[in-house]
Amino acid sequence: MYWSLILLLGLLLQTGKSAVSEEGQLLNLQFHGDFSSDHLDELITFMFKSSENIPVLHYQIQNPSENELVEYLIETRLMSDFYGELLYAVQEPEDAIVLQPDETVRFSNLDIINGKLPDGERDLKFDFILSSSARNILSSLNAGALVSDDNYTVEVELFKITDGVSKERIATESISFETNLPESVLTITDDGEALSRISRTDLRFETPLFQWSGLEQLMYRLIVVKKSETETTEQLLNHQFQQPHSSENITNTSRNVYLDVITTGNSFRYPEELAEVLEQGEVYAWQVRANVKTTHGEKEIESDIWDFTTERVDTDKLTELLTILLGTDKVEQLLREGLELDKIELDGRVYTASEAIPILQEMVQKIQTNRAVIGE
Amino acid sequence: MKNLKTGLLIVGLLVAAIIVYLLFVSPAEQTTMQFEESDDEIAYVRRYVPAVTISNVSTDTLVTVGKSLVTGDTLTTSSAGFAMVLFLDETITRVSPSSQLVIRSALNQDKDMNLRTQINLALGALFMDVNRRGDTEFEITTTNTVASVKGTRFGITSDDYIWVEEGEVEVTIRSTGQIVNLANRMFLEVDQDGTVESGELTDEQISELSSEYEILDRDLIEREMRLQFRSRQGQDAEERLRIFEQEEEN
Repeated sequence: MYWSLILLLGLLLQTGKSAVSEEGQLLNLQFHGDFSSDHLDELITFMFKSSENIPVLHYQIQNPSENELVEYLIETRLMSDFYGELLYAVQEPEDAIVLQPDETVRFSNLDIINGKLPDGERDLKFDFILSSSARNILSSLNAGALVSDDNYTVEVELFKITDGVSKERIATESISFETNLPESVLTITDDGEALSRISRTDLRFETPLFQWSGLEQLMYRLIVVKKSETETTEQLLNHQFQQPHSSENITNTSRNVYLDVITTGNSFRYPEELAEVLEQGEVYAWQVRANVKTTHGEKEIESDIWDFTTERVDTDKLTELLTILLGTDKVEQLLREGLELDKIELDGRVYTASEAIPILQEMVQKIQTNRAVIGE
Repeated sequence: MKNLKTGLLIVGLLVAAIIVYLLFVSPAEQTTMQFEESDDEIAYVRRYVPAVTISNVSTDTLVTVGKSLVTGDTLTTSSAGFAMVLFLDETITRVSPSSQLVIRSALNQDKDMNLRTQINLALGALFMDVNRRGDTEFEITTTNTVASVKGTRFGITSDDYIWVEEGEVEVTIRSTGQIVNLANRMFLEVDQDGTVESGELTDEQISELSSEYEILDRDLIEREMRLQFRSRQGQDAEERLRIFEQEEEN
């Protein structure tokens, strides 16, 4: 299942009241040792279905009487703090569990599904009602939803049949666990190195590569806008995110929208065929948003708004300066091979092509006034 | 008696011929200085732009640039190399790229002064700032000239172009023995056929001629510039420049 790894992040906190009853240890309830929020669907269906044949819940009922045969009835409720009751299971009097004096019986939900106590002789039957909320949770889990923050409680009441007809509650026990969806799963964060790379994009060589960190299997909507003097970047982005996405019109430069795409994965390169849409020396902002399915419904998550600037390079000036420094033949050879100056490194510092122009200009001036020469 | 007269006449003609030869036909030999081989330091390379090599003709041993020069050393600059040689008498020789010169000098007894110095400029060009005192000699020979210096700032090329920024230079044309005195702002050029052209230079011409050597006026720092190129197809290339730049004034 897609979310299995993520679900592992869910913090399972099991808390259970000790099997306190009015008459001592009549009833005991325990989650199976391996149970975790990975198996939330198994818990919801624990009374009637087990896809992995692993027990979820263990019951223990004891007849403390030394000489009295007792008929017991069990009622079980599964509740969520968020949704309320998810499952209610009850035994009719004719399905009562009869325990001999001083007898203790242990069974799991797998025995309930099988309809027999572990001795294989006595029936173990329940009627149950699954709420619509429980069905919704199961449906969303099947669709790959993340398990939201919640607290699930299994509450069991033990009744004794008295006078052959009426039932008397003699013990109650509950056991619960919390599910936790880490906030980090619901955030789209920056990839620092990638942000740095894109921060000054030189369109002569490549289109911007947008990269972020977040769940890979989500469908992300990426929108790029050019900064405007009349509207804030937030306004531009919010406006576009509110529009239905159209794969036919992934740009709308009249609204300052330079890209609007839906993509999976954590990166997207600006289409080469649209490269001429972007302008040199402009500042663009971009953001990604996604809808995450959780057991509590869909949740929209969004990244910060990040900027990048496209380099403005005076290629004619650059060629003129390089011709002086490297010679005509060398520069012509480089241009023939499609090579253009990307950056320079001087005294350990790296400069982009546009930053390099004044440095090269100064160097040429020094050479022309005999204050510097180029060695071999 | 007649024979005696005839003999004396012949001897007289021979002596006259020898005198004429010495004076006019072979003036170069006449002015050639003689130097003894020695390991004494006669000058050192004060500043340079690589590549500059120095080899001693007699030992044919390459020595590290920047070290002292001894008599007979050959200094060669590459197509981008400059050198500034400082003699013991504080004469400065600035050497332009693609030059080659052999330096010889005789020192005084204390070995702290150049008494007689000769530079044989085989290739390229020099700019001299000669600090000459009365008892010292300094000359530069090229293909067809010998420039005897009397304390001056002047330039000279191996193909016999001499120009004076300041002071006076006496130039002997080796092929003809003609002597020409060049004063301030004058130039002289000797063609291959021995034709001499001379005249006066404008301020702009002097400035242009001397500007080539300005790079050696101050200490230099070496800087490396790496130029990185890319193509849209992802190709990379790099060019490295070694730049020798004058240090900024404090």
